[in-house]
Amino acid sequence: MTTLSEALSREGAYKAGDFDVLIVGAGHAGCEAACAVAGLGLSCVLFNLHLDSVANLPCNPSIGGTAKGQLVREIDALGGLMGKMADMCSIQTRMLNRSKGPAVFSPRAQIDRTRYSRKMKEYLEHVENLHIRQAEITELLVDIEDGRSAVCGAITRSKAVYGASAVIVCSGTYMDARIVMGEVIIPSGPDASFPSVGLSESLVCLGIPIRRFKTGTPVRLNARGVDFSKMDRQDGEDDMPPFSFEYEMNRERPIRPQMPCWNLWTTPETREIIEENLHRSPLFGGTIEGTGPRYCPSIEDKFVKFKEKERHQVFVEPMGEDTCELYLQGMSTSMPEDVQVRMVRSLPGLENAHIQRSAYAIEYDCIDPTSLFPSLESRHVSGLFTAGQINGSSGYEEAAAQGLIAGINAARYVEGLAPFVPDRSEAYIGVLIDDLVTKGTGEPYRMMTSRAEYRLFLRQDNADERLTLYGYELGLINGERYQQFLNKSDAIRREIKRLNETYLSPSETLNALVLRLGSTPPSSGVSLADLLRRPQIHYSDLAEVDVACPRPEPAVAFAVEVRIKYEGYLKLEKDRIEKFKALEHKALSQNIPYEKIEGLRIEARQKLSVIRPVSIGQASRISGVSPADIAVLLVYLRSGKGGGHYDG
Amino acid sequence: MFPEAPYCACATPPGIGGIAVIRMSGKNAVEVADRVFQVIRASSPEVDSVQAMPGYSAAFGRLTDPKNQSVIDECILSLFRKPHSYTGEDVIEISCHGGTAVRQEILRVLIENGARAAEPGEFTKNAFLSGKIDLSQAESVMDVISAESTLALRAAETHLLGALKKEIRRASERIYEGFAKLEMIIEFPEHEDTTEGAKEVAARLSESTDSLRELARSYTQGRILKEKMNVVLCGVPNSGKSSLLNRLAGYDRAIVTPVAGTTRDTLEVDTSIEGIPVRLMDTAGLRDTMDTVEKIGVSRAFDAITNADLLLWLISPAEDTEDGDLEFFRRAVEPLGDARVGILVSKSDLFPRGDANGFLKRITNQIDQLGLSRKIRFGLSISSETGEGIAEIGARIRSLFDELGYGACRELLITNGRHYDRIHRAVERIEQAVGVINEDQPTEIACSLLRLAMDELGEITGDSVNESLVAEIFSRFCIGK
Repeated sequence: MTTLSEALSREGAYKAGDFDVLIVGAGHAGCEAACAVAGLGLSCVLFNLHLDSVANLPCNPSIGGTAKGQLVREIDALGGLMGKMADMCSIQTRMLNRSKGPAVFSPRAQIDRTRYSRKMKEYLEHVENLHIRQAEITELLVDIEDGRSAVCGAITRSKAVYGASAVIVCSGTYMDARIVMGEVIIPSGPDASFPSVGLSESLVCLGIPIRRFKTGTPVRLNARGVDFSKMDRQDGEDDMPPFSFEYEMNRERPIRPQMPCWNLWTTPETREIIEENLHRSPLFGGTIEGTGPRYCPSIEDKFVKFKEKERHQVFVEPMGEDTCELYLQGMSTSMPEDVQVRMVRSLPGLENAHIQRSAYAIEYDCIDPTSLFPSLESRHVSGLFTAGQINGSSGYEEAAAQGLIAGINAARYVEGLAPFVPDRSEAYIGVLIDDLVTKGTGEPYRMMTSRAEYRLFLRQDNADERLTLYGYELGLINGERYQQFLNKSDAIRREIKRLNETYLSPSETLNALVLRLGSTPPSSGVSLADLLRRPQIHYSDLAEVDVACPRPEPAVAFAVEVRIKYEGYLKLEKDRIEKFKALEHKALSQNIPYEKIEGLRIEARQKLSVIRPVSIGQASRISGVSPADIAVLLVYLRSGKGGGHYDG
Repeated sequence: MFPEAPYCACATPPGIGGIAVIRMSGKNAVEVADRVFQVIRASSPEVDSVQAMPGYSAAFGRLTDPKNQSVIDECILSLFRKPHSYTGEDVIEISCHGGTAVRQEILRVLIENGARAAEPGEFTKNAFLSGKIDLSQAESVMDVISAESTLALRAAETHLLGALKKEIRRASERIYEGFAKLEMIIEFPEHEDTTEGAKEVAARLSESTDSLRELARSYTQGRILKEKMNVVLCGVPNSGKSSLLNRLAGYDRAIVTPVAGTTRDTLEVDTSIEGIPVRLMDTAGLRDTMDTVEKIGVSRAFDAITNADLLLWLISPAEDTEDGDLEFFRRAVEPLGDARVGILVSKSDLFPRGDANGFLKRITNQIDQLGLSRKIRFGLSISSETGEGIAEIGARIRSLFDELGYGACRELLITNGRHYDRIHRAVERIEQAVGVINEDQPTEIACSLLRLAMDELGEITGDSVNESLVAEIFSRFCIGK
């Protein structure tokens, strides 16, 4: 452990500046964190190894998708960046799951990778209170007070010493990273960048539990020489609403192109090549120690794990407007380069393809997220926050969401305010963070809609309803944007009222309409809302019989339809949310002597002592803590022995 | 958390058995035991007190009242030291001679020497609180405590082994499979791996609820074990109901406990017939009457009939049936399910055999003409005086009980209303989900209903829906970068 003065006494060291918050890594987490801190009026310095790879998308060139699209909308509703940036840099947009119901409608955009990085850097350069700096942070600096360490700055490889009241580490997949291609192992960050060396060791010295995770990325190839006629073309949709609520109601959204993607399937030859060369895969040869994710296995994993499957799907996605490079989703691999070439050329249409960048597996250091408070502050070092892949997550959107929360909470920490963390019933962001800090993760954690208990409520269309008031109160949403939100809410309320109060008597036009839509004609007068409750009838269908329709904005019409159609189901969910909140609001003190509570099983004592939940609700979600343990805990707290530990 | 005084109670069901077990648990259980128990023979000669006994051991000795040194009983004392005991605390079990007086004397002496009487279910509550048993096991134990008949005990014991959990997990497996498929359709919409039609999934989901439904059905049988089968005796006045009640109640006189008559004219008696706990209800004779009190009695009789598992309609050949009697019969059987009525021609001893049988036949024909024959389960000619047909009634009660459980040999029964409700609600939700899919409503609604269903089942098994679902998705589907 090094203090600020010890660092300054090193040869060549110099004091480069003092900031409220220092952020390590300008990926998706770091950028959101920096803008949040600066937006809340605190001074902030943001470091990246290379300033031309700010907010890089080193894997798939897309943002959004199921659950991730919802995260982007939530980030935007709280005043974050990712939604606006994605709207500015999309090269194809689609709303996934249109037929599965409005709660799981998931916006997704293919993204021009270099444009995204450039736009983000340009944006950051204009943010007041924010200083961006190309440098490698090699060590964190701490003060020790009452035996507890508090972060106070950091030092760069070039010996510049920065003072800071809080530090956010967003190291992505860079810490002590190495990439693996068959027998070849190279110390390297993603995309042939330098790895970050020294920082991981510094975290170990601070007592933070470090683990090793693994992920991977497929090849990139040149579109010249690709025979697209052998693939299925997939076009975008022009009517996908923007990610950003800012563009939703009254602003011109950026006009962007729609480039096509393609689908294809692996061939028997692909399978043969993989099976022949399995012994050369480091995944099966034991060279890779890191834990990889179940949900995004390499292509060799897929053939090994799902032996009964003859073939696997591959998606071909463009990397940008001013490049011929294509991304081959579904072909992530750590096979040697020579095998990669043969594998790619066994795919239909890619017989003559030229690989421009190889696929690789990457191993990196991350921390055990159960060592964090829900605020994303470390339990070991005051003022130290972490966000993104360092917390064991995977994905740009997951990283951005954590970055935003870490940024908000680092700022609040510096100002001595209580942390802000949305709960599981308020946002996917809440689900993500709670899962990470309460349950931990044994593999890179990906957000999925199935992880949310209250999915009908956590929709992409109402992210503003759920979070924008918070954003406004925190200070990240300005008055104009908040007024826009209030106007939208008001329009939704008025239109629902109108639909409930407008009655139609049976008529030929009405009967013809409902029959055509596959429903039954009403026997007596019906309200427009009643009609909309029928599964077959949608808001746009009502136009024929609804002469006084005020023709609301699409976002308003959508919200109105969901709320009326799903009223009963939403009510059911609301009841469950209330029960959930009751436990969530039973706060637990950080000083409860779990080790000494008689009746708690040993495993529960250990888990509770380590995780130190902030509420009974959180305690009940810790794996290894049984309902019996919760009962014991409740009895203990109520018995008076826990006096003062319990306010619920 | 645990009170300082150990708590004690009789662990075996009330009633007369060869041996009764008194259980004492809590911090000072050993000390209290030493005050009243003198070791005569134990695992080794050094053991001369309860304090000296190792855990999981037993000793033979004398239980005396220290007040006057009088010996109450010679018994076996078993010691379970914490945490290796049922409640997780020090537990002492005293096996003494059965008999109310002995049991109550021992409890009295224990209480006078530092123990206190256990609250109802306190052992189980502490076993549950110390994590020794889970909620569904705890509730089973609650059932054991009140189990009055041998059959009820067996059903409760099966629960203790976690059989219910196992059964539910087995049923859940197939539901999760379908649930995960639907989730995959949502989660990875572009993957053709996941394009299996929701309707096929719905069909299989529907099938997979069969075992849950069967489990839920066993509740009727389980409920009877716990709450007793309601057998209502009915008929016109003077048809022999009261004699039959006395006869049936005396069938197993040892464990008959007359319940205070809820009204002056409806008498209830709890008894056990063929090992099945039965609540016999004698009702006021049904007839048109101007007497206010009798009118109330008749209306209460009809109330009792509403809750009947079996209605025994008594009719005596001594009285000639009038149309009015059959009208009462019609009204009485109306609220009952099919095959829930036994026709008993009573007082058969007063008539030549052929007469009673002929009479039964005539009655049956009349009922047939009313179109009510489907309500009839059996017809018997009986005599409470000679005992003719009484054993036969027992056999019929047994067969109805077997049938109510839809499978006489099922070992697993749901005896707990909470479990029944949850399983029942889960099945309902799954059915709703299947309906939603078949009506082409959004998949997400079906999924949200399935989540509610699995939440219900998870409340019994303690499994988390999120973890089960995500594990299922990853194990079954091949999705990747």
